[in-house]
Amino acid sequence: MKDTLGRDQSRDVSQQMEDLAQRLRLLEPEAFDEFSRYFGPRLKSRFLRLDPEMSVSVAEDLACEQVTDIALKIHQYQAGNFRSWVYRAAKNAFIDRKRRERLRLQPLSELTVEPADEHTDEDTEEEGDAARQEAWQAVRDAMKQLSNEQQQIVRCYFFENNINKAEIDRQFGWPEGKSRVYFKRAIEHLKKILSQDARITEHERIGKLLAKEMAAETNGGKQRLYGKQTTTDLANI
Amino acid sequence: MESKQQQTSQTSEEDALPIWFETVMHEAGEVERYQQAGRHALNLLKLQAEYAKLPKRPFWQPLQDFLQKLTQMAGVSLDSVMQLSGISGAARVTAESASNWALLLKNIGLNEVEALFQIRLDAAGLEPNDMTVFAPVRARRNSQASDPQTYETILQEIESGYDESRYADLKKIYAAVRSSYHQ
Repeated sequence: MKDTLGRDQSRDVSQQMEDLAQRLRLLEPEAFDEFSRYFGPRLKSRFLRLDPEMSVSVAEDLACEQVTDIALKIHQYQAGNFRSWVYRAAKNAFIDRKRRERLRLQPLSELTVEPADEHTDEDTEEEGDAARQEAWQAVRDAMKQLSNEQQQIVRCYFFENNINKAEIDRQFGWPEGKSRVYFKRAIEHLKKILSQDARITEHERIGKLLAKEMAAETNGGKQRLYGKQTTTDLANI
Repeated sequence: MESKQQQTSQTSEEDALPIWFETVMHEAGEVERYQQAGRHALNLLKLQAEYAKLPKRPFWQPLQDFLQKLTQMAGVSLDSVMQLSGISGAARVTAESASNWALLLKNIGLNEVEALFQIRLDAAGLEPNDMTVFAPVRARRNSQASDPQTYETILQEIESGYDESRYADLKKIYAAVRSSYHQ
């Protein structure tokens, strides 16, 4: 059984964290990937818990910012509890941000984050995170089967803050509409690969959605449950 | 009008993606962005580590070298330059302070020195290219009947004498001089 750091769960988590800190100090590229994949989603969740009014996208931006800032301070970490150290640094950044924004200030006692190891929802977080990591890996693998142009456009559209297709045409110096063609082909290809990938179908949340939509599709095409609209073939009712 | 509406409707239907697919791509995108943030930190740390390997020199040292070369080429001593510049004994530049160097540069013609740095920085791709920086150099060179080649020679010296590792120093000096000068 592997955890989200890709390691054996039987190993002591805090020891794994110490190893991770050590590898970060040695500027090991894989360690930075593991660090960001592990802490990014957790920091976002924590920010949302600290301020339920914070929008998800703001929490995600703040988490990204903190992934960079905390990793840059790695040489300040002294052996102890790496996870707590990360969360404490993130909490301080969160409070600083609140102060700077001059928003409604909660008493500091309310903003205090419990030590990471005492969090009761840590296990749930681990499970959800593992599924997300698997799905992410499935997308990465699927993207390798696309052409370079298709990969570029999918990356721009989904991974870089939803840049629109006209903007992508401009950025790559392509004639207008070229990105739309690449995008359409890429999406068809990706959908086909991902809908057959066990890592996606077994991801509880996504698997359910996929099953529901596929059932709707195969039901004589009567109902298509697509992202922003539901179309119904009136002639077949 | 009708066909336009039809076209819009077709386009939005074309763009619509299954919810499961949007969800999986959004989640993958989120992980990807965290990873990019981590790699950004790694790159910055690598740069810091590289910079730490550079020989430690006082940041004004290259500037001092440069000014000494300048005064030697002009056939005057550094003391004479300071005297001519009207720097009093108390404020005499002894390389201890950047602001004193800035004062000296101001008095002997900061624009020219700035221009020399600017040319080098442009050549190193560190600052946007700006041809106007050559103007004060030309003006000064033309006015120096005694040694019209001085600046040209200095330029060549700098061109050949500075290696990549010095550009970072030059940029720092340039920033320090500018900020002192504009205070």
